[in-house]
Amino acid sequence: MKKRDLQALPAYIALVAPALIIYLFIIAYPIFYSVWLSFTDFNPNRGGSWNFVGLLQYRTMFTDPNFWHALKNNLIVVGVSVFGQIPIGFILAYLLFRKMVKWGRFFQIVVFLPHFLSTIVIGILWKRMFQADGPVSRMIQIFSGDPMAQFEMMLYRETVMIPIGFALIWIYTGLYMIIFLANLQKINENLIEAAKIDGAAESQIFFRIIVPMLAGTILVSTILAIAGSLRGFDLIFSITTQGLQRSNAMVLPIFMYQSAFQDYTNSMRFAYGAAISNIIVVISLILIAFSRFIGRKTE
Amino acid sequence: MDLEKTKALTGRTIAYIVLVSWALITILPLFWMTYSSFKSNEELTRNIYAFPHDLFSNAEDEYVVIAPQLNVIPDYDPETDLRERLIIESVTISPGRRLMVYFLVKEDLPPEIAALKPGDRLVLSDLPAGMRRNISWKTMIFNYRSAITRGGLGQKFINSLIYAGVSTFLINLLALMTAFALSKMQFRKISLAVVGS
Repeated sequence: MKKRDLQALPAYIALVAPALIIYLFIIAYPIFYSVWLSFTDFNPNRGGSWNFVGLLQYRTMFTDPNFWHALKNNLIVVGVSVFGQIPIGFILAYLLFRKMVKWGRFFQIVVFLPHFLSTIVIGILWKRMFQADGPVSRMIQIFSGDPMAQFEMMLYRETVMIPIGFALIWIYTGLYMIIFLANLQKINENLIEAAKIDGAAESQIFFRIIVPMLAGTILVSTILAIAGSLRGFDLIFSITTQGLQRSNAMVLPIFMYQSAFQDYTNSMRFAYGAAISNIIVVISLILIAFSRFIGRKTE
Repeated sequence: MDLEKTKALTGRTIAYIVLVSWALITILPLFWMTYSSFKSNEELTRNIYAFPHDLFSNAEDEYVVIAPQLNVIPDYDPETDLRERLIIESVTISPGRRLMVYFLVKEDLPPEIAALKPGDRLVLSDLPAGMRRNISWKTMIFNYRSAITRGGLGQKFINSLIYAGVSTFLINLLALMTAFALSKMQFRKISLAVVGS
């Protein structure tokens, strides 16, 4: 037995090694590198010299008001994803699943349609939609009768996340709808029929059968949504214009990008960026652990 | 029984309202984007809502004859194709920017048009029918032609294709190899260390 084991070892190594080496090089190594980087003042432009600075980068970050603003905006994005995209996607999937409308297939394709487009294209499209002289402003003018009316939410720090949240819902609801629809279709029709015969109302079928059976899917979608919205860079980057508007709508990935690659006044900018990206990972892990905890509690 | 019916009806109505309004919110911006792609820059600046007009009603478009210059990039190979050409540029769509330029082979033109000098003007309907149809059609898809020629969309598409193809192939191959080794071969302990759990 032992000898046969050893004979198989080269084959085993040949099968596992390529993937493992690639994984170590492009995933594991950057993770450790960025953790190491965030505790140093390394700057490649200054030559190879570096020294440990302890928690300096993290201290700068936590005293930076821009960081807290970006974190707040990012939590809004997470909230929009978890409490906007998922419930709406669920409701739409349920409406289609119970065949409440004709042309279910058509609505399914239409709701999923934005997902086929590049996020950058969608960002530019909605930037145009929300522009001062764009279609949304025009609709406000028509309905309010005031020819000077404008859509102003994109202009102010307090409200800029509202239209962006709308665009986020517009893109990703279709994805969650497809996920829920696929899982709803796995539910045995007989179960619903039996409940109907037993005299269950529509609302009882929904809350007592459908929702419990999809609890696992909802949890997975929530984790996807949290991880996705903490990484989400492209939409907000392309929907805002460079400068004040982008710093108003700043989220953590954009904050990280700007402090690491555009803030030339900070000589430790790469280390600072690494610290921010580590914090993004930590926040993401905390939120995911929290949602798993909630999921286990409700079961 | 009647109550049941009204309930079902309200449910259906709400479902229709929700889905139809969602579909409208999805389709209208995309529709706007699609028809805007058939408008010239000038039209887009003039009125962002209007339906495309200039690129389609191009039968009476005016063109000006221009001299060959460095910023006029030929769409044929001047090394091998030595026929003389009349270079015309639109005066209505992106005038003076050397974007909407056509190269007409002088042999195929009536002599009075072939004799035009730089600065002279001509109208599309003066040209022979085949050339006119060709230019008219090329004008309609002007933005898409620009994307492919000036924006280099073809090469970018090939790059995307290579990227998608190679990554899909390699991911599947490596995942299959590793998954087989980890689950079907011995060495449980090494496998546990590799997977990390």
